[in-house]
Amino acid sequence: MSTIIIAIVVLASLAALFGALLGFASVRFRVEGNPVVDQVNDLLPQTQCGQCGFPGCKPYAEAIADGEKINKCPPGGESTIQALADLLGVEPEPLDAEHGAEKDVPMVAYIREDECIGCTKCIQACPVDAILGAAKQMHTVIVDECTGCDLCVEPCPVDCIDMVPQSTDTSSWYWQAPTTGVELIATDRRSLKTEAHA
Amino acid sequence: MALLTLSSPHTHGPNRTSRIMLTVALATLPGLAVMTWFFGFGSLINTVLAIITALASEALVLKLRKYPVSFFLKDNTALVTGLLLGLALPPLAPWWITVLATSFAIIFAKQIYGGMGNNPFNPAMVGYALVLISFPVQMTTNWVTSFQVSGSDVAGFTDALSIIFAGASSTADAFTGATPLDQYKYLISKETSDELLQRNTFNGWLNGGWEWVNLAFLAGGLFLMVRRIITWHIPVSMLAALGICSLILGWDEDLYTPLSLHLLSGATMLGAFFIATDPVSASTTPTGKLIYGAGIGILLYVIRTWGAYPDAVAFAVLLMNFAAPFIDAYTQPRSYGHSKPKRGLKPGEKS
Amino acid sequence: MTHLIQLHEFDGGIHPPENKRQSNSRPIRKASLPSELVLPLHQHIGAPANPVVAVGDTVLKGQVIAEPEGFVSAPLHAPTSGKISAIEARQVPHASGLSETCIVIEPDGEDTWIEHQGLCDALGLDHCDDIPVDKLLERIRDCGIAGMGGAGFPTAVKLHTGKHKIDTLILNGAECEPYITADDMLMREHASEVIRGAQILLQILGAERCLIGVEDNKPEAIAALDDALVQHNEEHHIDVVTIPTKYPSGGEKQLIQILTGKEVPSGGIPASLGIVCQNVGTAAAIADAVDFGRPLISRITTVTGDAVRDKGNWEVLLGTPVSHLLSLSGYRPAKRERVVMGGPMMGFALPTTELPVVKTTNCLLAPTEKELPTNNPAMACIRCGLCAEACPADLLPQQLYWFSKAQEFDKAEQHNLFDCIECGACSYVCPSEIPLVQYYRFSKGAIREERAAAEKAEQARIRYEARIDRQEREKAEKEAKRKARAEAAAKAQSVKKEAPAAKAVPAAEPAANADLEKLQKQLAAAQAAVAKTKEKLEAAREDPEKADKIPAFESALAKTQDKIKTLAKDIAAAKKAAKSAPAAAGPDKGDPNSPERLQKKWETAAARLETARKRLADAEVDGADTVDALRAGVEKQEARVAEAKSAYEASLNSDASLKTAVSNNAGTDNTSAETVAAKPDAEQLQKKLLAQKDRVEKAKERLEMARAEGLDSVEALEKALNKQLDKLAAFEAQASTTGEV
Repeated sequence: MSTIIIAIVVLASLAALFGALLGFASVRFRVEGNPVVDQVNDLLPQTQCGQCGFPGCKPYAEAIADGEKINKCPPGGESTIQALADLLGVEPEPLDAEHGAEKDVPMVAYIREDECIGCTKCIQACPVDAILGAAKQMHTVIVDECTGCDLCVEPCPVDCIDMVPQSTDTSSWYWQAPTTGVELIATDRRSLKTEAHA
Repeated sequence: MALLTLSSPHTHGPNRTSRIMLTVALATLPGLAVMTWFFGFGSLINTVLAIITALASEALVLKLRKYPVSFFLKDNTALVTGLLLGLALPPLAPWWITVLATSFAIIFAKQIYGGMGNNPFNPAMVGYALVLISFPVQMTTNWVTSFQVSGSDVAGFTDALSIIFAGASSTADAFTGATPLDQYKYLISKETSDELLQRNTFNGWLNGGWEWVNLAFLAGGLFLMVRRIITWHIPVSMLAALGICSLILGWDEDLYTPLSLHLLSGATMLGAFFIATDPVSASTTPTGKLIYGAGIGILLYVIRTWGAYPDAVAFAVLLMNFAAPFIDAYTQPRSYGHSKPKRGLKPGEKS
Repeated sequence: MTHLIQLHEFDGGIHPPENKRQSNSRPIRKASLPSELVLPLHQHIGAPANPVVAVGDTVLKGQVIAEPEGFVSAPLHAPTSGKISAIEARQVPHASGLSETCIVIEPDGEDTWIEHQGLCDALGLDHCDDIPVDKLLERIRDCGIAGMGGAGFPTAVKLHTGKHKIDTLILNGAECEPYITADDMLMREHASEVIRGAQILLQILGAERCLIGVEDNKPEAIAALDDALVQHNEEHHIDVVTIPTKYPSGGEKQLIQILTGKEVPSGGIPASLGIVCQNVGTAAAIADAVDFGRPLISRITTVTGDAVRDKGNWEVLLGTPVSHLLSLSGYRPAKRERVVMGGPMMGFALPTTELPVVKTTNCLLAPTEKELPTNNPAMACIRCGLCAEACPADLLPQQLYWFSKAQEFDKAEQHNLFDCIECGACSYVCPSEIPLVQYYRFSKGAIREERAAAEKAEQARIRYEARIDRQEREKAEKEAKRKARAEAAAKAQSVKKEAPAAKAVPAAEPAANADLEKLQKQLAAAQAAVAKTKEKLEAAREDPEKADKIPAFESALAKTQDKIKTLAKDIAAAKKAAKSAPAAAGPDKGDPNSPERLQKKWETAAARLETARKRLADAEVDGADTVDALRAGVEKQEARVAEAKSAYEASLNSDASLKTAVSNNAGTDNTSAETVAAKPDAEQLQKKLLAQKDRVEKAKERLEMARAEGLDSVEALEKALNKQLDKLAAFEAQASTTGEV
């Protein structure tokens, strides 16, 4: 009988002790987490392009927090989906083609200024106020602020807005990763073969 | 004319992987020679067999993976894996044990993980562990009592061949037996140390030829250190840990295997200089190497003394292979300009 | 050497073959003038310079052709006299082979100097030792001097050490890279300038001592410097320190460690340790600039490698094409040809030889394949750890390699990737010939790009949120305005109720109210003015000095009083008008759920659907990406139309049931028949009415917009609105009569 009592007492006190420890740890080492919406929003590319079907990145972040699918963001592409999947602990899915395809290079809008009639429609469409101009004045894009979202292209009545790839200069250029040995040998072989054929 | 544009540096030192591996192979030759001298041609035959199997398996997998075969065979890593396995296996182990261990080492322990440089475990030791667990009898009885020491005939080349390939057991019985480590471990509970040493295996002295084998591997290891192919960290910490354990826990040679036997018998030196130092699967930071080596030394002693197996280099190394990435994460050196080394993983980071 | 300097050792490092003998055995030669000089505007770290000359201008040697842009920048000078033949984008010496704006000068062959003089003479000082520090700094900046060791950081900026107190100046004469001998030859032949530069730098920094670190493989240079020290009588402040030859001892951080034993904190600058490090070439250029007023227009460059016959050092004008310099040295292009700007360890291979020599070009290396074989294909990393042993920054290069290869950039950063100085020691010793440095460069670039993208995303988020805020604020303001108007209308309504005799006149009561208010305000202002003027008048009367102003005040007073009178009259009139004015004349908003309104809603929704469909069709024809979005839009719109329709029908039904009930009560089939007959007419009318309402609505919207933007079309729009309202009233009257049939 006493054995049982001892066992119960020991187990109970151990439970109490560890419970207290865990409780203390959870209070003492509490990690102040961002609300999920903010964390999701931080991962989204903030192009505010609306391709996801929501009027901006924040609304989409809110929708994701409410269970919306994470694969509706073409500007973010696979890497964003992966990051979202990691954050939310869900399986990454391939990008939903319904919302558009991922672009290889970042784009910026460019207004052909001599064709611009100054209608301000693009200014109203720009989600980040990156277009400068006034009624009947020619408009121009602030390249550094443009997110390449495309939204200004559609409203332009004279189609004077182009999306051009962001240019690289010597300060933004960097070496690409080298091709690995195996690939290099493979390409060498191919070129040798093609030479032989020629 | 377009010029070649490559990233700097535009010059390269004399180091080459293939040359490093060849040097490692060369450094084992004294050990191999001494083994052949004491234990006959068995080791040599097995080593050659293991090397051929290793190269063939490697070529096969490279072919299957559509990799350039000759380019990768030339790096000599398969050669070294085969060589080490050949040295580690019992001299008169049947051929199929050698072939099985080697091909498993290359195909499963190395290539399946992505080939050279990507294997988390020492391939040779994985192969060794496989056959040790699967065929304990063959792995513990096919050792040879030193002919030189016991005075009996050296097993001739044909004898060895017939034992290894034809399983000529009648011939084999004349030569084979357990290793000194094995005998000491199992007989010390029944006999005193002095009585034990009178047995054939020891022949009154210590290790019955094994001391010379170990000294030869030690010499090869020192050569590698001089050539700066391996650093002192792992061998020194491993041998030190083994020695300290032995001195503290096994000082009574009537109860435990003595220090001299630990250091100069079995695969101790081969393990310390050639197996534990396999850079791919070992720890890489200086402090990490010390911990890694010490871990192997301690495990080696523990398994040899209280475990079921007489020798334990394979298990000790494999167990520490598991720990190597973890050790590395916590032993990063202090970088220039930092007051403290960055160590461990950030919270939330996956290893 | 006068002091014994305790040397320290840095970890790692390598000893590649030095290969310096080929180029340091003959004196520096002067390179001939090429047919054109190409001067990139961006030869230094920081913002590119801004051209101040135009195409066609003639310039003199040493004339400023581009001014610095911002603090971290450097000006550019014409290296010889001649004509500006172009300012255009040209390929610049950079690993990327990209183009940047360059000023192209066509030399006239005269090489005429612009007027220049030493700073001491320019300031008219007797003692050249007490030139103010800010003048020295200004001169260094004006002469375009940027670090000549390789990085090209503007020297004047580096000498602004801010709050840091500098005690040690280090001159870097280590020149640890194989092949390069430019600094070696400079120290041999221009030792005096180097020492003079050190003096000036010491003066600027207020430092006590200067250490010139030179590797022990340059005994001639060390001897020359020691001689110059004696000449300048500077043995007490300046020490030439011989350091062991080991690559990369010439790295700034490594040299500091060798000479002082201190480590520059990660992400910090040497100044935080009280140290400033300058290249010996920079020191010589500073001496030239301060003592003679010569800007940085030429430099010493080593041309070496087995592909050139005539190896040696050249004093070469900036902007000289590499091809010119190579042909002077007897260049024979070989198979698998490379021309490296800089040394073999850290230089970059040029994509073409039609590139200019710039401020940082210390060496042109044209090796043959036999001399410096290109790497074999990389094998797998075997974690041998040789790289970690060679790393002068005590990093774990192989770990960085794994992380870079797997693009696990956060882990690479955690392993101090950004402390890598890209010295190339790890690649040099790697037995698998892995281009490690290229992996690190890739990682660093990708991380920088990621950071920039994150920053931009953050910026975009802030701007987007600001925009949403603004839009909401505007909406709220509009809403408030609308409410205010509605309230005013309600007030007017009540006024109208109080005066039941008043007839409905389509006059805008809020406008009348506004007028009244305005008048009252004016009145108040005028009254205040009168009071003030009166006060002044009193004061003037008391003060005899201002007596002459009394008549002016009096007349002003009279004028203001007149104004008040007219205002009072106006106000009275306005009040009367307001009283007689009826309530707001706008169309009765009525019940929002009335069938008419619902029908209108339905119709507009249908119209929108139509446009949406059209757009979709267009997009489908064009195969535009937006098809899906548009399709979704159309679907939504369809749903809305259906909703509006059902709402309308529901309301109609309730109407109809009411009517049926009425007709049933009357008990005559005729009535209902008549109603049915009358319906088409009534319907048509209803439609017209609705269209009219729509138009009114639109006109109002336009008016609102015009008002908000303060356009001068307000009046015209108002008129148009009134007309539309009239029409609407007419239709309504008609509709009501028809409805009664």
